[in-house]
Amino acid sequence: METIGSGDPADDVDRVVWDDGDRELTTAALLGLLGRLQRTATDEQLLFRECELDCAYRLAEADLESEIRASGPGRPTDLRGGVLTHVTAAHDLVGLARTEDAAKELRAAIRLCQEADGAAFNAR
Amino acid sequence: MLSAEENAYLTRVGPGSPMGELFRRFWMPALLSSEAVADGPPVRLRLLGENLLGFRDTSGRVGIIEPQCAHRLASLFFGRNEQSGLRCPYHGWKYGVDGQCVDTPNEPENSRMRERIKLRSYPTREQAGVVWVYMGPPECSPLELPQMHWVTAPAGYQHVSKWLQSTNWAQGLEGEIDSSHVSFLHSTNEKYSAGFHFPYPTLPPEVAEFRAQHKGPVDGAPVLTVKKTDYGMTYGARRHRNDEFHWRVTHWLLPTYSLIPQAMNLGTNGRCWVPIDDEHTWTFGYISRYDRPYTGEEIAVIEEGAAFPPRLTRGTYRLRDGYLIDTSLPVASADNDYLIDRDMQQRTNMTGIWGFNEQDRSVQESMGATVDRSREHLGKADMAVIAARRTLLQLARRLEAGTEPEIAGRAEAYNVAALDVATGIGTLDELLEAYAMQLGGIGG
Repeated sequence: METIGSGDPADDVDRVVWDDGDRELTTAALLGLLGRLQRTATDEQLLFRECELDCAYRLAEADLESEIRASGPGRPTDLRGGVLTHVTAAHDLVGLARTEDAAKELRAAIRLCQEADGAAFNAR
Repeated sequence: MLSAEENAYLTRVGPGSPMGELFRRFWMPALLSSEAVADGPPVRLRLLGENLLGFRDTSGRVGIIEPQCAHRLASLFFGRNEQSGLRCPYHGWKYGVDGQCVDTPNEPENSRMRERIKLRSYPTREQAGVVWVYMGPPECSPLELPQMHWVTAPAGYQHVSKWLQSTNWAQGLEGEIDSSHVSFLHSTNEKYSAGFHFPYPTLPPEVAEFRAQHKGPVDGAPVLTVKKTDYGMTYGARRHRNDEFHWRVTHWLLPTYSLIPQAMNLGTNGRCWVPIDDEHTWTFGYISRYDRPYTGEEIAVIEEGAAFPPRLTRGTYRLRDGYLIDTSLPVASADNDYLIDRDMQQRTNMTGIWGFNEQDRSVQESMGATVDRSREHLGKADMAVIAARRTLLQLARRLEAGTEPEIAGRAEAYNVAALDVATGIGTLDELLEAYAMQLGGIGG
């Protein structure tokens, strides 16, 4: 099901943009969300960002749980835990229309996501 | 997903709560007119966490008042409804529909105590077979009832029902505006049909003909357009059907009304959820025709319980704290596993449960009296639910900060219609413009 708003159908700020094919929460997805958040101006657009953050939240939680299950010596889960914390905070702040504060949380999530991706790559 | 704090803010409706205060700014259905008989038994109620009593006096006026006698707090449910008032059987104190004490027969003859005694009462209006109540500050009282078609249509053009749901109000509303569950919860044995099994014994002939004319491959991946409006939200679900689009335009109107099109735009139907307390809700169901009154046969079909209302029986219900309310109770409930038939579930439909609302309540009530939204995992299909919650939270916060909900005073903004149409028009805004006359005023 595609969900769009009543604004410009060609502008992705006026629709829910999320690739359900992603199995993990990716830095690219968070960067895209941040870009749309920075252009979000209306109440309706805020609702779409909140929906996208719900999608990000559930992937972040799944990523953390996967790490916990797979964790062993030298495989810290605090990075994924941090991503989840910041994504959750961003979600709640968008709900309060505090877009700048939400963007700060998303940037923090992006940094940790990049670190976690690097750590996972090095662990292979 | 909502944090635990936001979930509590959303769901708590008792006196003094922010969401309860928001609900109080609107006229709300409280009783069916048929529940209050002139000089008949009073009706025990609870609304927004307040225990109340409804009764109709000799002249037909309905009062909603505090349920206990001011003298020694005996329940006025046991009072005698007589000669324009309700008389407590304990010592004879009598009250009018406005709560004013009009007689204190056990007091000395020259006593004027009764002039100083007035039970809490709330203003009522009666229209469309419903007794409405306003529980907010008098200075904020909206002048008119919400001007939805089922409210303003001539008597007989609508059918209204009422029943108990054993959950917080928000679960009922969210189930209503969540369109994606229809293809599953209400589906037949055809695998995840985007159509649904409408278990009426016979469809109205014009509906059966319409469906036969518009058969075709069903698009299971609709495009949902969400449009925030001043009265709440309009959402259009667009599906491909043959070489055109099939649109269903539905509305959510503050605080908890839905308006859903009937096939062939014969009229609209919907539900609203009136909070009893944090864990119980009255669902009011309404259906109205644009062209004529319902026949007796049609009403009998509606009241069979296959859709809305469910199968009902009249009785009393003991709330968690022991207070009794008088209400219509669903026959299929958690107490009997909604009369689930596992053989039916294997052979006929997804649930093995017979009626539409029975199917809805089976899942909504299974989530718990107040679902823990902090444990949810929402996706794109939950957009309408996310939007409704957020809108209500914002309005409650603004009211707490001193800004009254302007929509509560704009009864005319509720004069919108739902739409079910096949057309080549591809966007919701163009559709709304093309059907503006049919749809009434679509707010911006």
